[in-house]
Amino acid sequence: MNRRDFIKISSIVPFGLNPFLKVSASANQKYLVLIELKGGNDGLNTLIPYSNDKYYESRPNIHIKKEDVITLNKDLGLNPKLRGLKGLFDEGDLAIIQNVGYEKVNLSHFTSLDIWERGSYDRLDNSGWLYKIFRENNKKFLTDGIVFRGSTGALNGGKPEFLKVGNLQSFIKHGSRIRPEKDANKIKTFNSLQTHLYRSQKLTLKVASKFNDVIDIDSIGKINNKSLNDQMKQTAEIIKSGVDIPVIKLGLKNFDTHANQFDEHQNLLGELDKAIRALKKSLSLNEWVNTLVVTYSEFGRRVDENGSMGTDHGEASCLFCMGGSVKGGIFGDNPDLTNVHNNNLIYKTDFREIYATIENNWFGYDKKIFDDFTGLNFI
Amino acid sequence: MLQFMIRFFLCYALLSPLTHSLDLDEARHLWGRTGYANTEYFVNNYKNISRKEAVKYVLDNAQYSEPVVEKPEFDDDGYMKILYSNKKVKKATKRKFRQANSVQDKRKITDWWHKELLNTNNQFQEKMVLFWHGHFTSDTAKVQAPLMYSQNQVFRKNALGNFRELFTDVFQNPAIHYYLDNNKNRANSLNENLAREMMELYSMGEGDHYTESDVKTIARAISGLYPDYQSKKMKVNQKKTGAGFNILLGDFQYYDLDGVIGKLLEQDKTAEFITRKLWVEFISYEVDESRLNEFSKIFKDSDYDLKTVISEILNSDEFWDEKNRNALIKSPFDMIASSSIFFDYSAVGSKKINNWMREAGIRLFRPPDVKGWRGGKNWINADLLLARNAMMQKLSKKITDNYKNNNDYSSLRNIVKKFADPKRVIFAINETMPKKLLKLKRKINKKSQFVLGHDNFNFK
Repeated sequence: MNRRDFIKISSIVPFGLNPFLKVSASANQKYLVLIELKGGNDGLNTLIPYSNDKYYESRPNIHIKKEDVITLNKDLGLNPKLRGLKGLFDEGDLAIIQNVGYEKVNLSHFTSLDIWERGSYDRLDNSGWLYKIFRENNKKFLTDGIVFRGSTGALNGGKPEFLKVGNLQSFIKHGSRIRPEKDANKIKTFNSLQTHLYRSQKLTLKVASKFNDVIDIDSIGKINNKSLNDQMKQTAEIIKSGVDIPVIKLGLKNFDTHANQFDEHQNLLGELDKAIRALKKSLSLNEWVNTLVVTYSEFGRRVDENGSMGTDHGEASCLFCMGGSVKGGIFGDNPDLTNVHNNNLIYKTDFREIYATIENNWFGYDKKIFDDFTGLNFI
Repeated sequence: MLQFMIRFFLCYALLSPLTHSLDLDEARHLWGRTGYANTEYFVNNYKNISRKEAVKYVLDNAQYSEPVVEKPEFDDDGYMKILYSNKKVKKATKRKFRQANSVQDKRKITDWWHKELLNTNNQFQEKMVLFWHGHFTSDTAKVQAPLMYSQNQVFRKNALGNFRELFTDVFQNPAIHYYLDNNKNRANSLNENLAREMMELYSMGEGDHYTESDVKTIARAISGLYPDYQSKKMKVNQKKTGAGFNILLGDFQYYDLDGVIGKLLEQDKTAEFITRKLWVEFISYEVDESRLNEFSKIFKDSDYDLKTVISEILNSDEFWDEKNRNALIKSPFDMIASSSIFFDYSAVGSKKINNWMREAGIRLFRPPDVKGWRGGKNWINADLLLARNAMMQKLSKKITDNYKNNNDYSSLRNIVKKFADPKRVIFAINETMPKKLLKLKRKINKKSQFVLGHDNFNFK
């Protein structure tokens, strides 16, 4: 960074939030890191009810052996690939919420994901749960969020207030040089799509230029867009820069394990574990306290395995909340494998309880969207 | 009487599009939505034909045609004996065969399609093949290349033919069964994957009009099928099939694969779901529900004849409405294809085109998920937007370098002369063009009137 850049930034950033005083810049900046497990994560092979014989009866071929489970208590244990998460659990930084779902679950990937990301059943509602929280409270950020992979649903809304970025390096390199069409307003046939294009250009330029000033892109190394670990590396860079962006969204796909589930699911969980470990390692204690990582998936999977060594779409599942501000532990009862609906786990915690918790205890804004829900006390 | 006649003539003159021939903007609109760009006929004739004649011309010219690019060669004997045989084959042998063939064959079919897309004489058909690929999704990540290639031929045959035949042929072909694990679906151990998407994504669309028990009925009816590699057809294994009497969508009858397809096509929802997709493809992202109902009724009454409903769509006031022009966002494929009016792609090479398109959001034979490409505004977010710009920049650089090296711009000018009305040229040149090309543009501009189409790369 040269002297001119310094002056440029100093003139924009309010006094006291100067990026050169990195600690003070990021001290109050909170980051919600969402990880979408696309396809419907099998909760029963993620958090295993290893003391329950019914689990082993239902899954003769694709169960996790008792001796392989990483035990958390006398009934439950983590998948052996989740060693890093066990570490967080021991430090009290991991909350596991059990039997999460919603009433009359929809078993379409796309519709169910929409319901999760909107936080409502209303099909005509086009805005995501985070968009609603931010707009309701008139919040303005550099941008609402950066989406590295997967769905953008949680941030969708009337006007684009987030950016989808696969690779931070090329985004910064090309985005900071973009030239929004100057005479856009003069174009005769200026329709809503052209407005959308123009707005996207401007937002890209604004955010990429800011990143260019505060993130050292070369330090990240070569990035593979698909790997969750590399998405997480880029996430860490954003968090460390202290920029004013409250949400970072990541994605890992292939959780739709209808066939040959065992190895594939293990590998996916391994990838998740590795990425979270890496994030924890690269953040300072202060940054970790200001970071909340939440996983979600459109639904869980059937209790019984199917005939192709896999599981079909199910209902309730478990999810993880992690971070330095999290009150660790297991929330909710153990999965009930006898009292089931179409051979699916019945939900006991509405997913919006998690949103209400985040809304109340993480953002803490005045106006509430999820005030029908009391929330849990994991933060 | 006289008054009546005057009124009649007035109405006729005001309402009927037959009374006037196309203007350039209308011609551009029609050919941008149904083809890519280089339809010489339009450039030479649009002034003399009406909207209706133009639509008829477009549809008449889209008769089924075979690909112009030669079929890639596969080791069919190997595939048959090693991957698709009933006999037990050692895992190591299979792995070895895959290593020797799979990756290479996948590249072959992708190259083949790129070439076909840019060289076809039947652009409308090619567009619809891509449309059906995004509808009846399958992915080379799970399906071997020869099957993906044969599925592509299925799309081709009924791209603008009959949807019933298309649906049937797609489900006769093994590709979609492999993609959604239906090759593993057995009557005594069901796999619901394909059954669910058959209703949700391929026919009726998601909603309350079917239940979980319908999903199970279909899974049962289409269980016990196995592929015959040679004929590229699914055959029934009588010992493992669950076809039989059952209840689907409230009706008790005999259901096998054909029975299921028949029942799904009886549903008004199916006609509506497909017509809605066509509306978004051809008219606008905003759907007029009552008009949609009319179109989908026509579609169903014609027993799913695609040309009938598309003709209806292209002749509608909604299609020609000025507010619906330049109101769709071009897919990365559209961007490449429509700029082939003045770029000679043979100089670029399909590997490069493949990379650009991938970065801008489309990989042929690799849809993003089972729902296919979402299109619309999704083509423009930070990442893809930058990739689009970069793509056009690289492309124009490549082209100018080419011209610069030969110190000859004439070919570009010839293209302009050949395809455009020299007096009034609407020519899509983006701001991101290199200076040299802009200079050239100005040169041509002196002779003819350019309308600088800022957004012609992005919108259609």
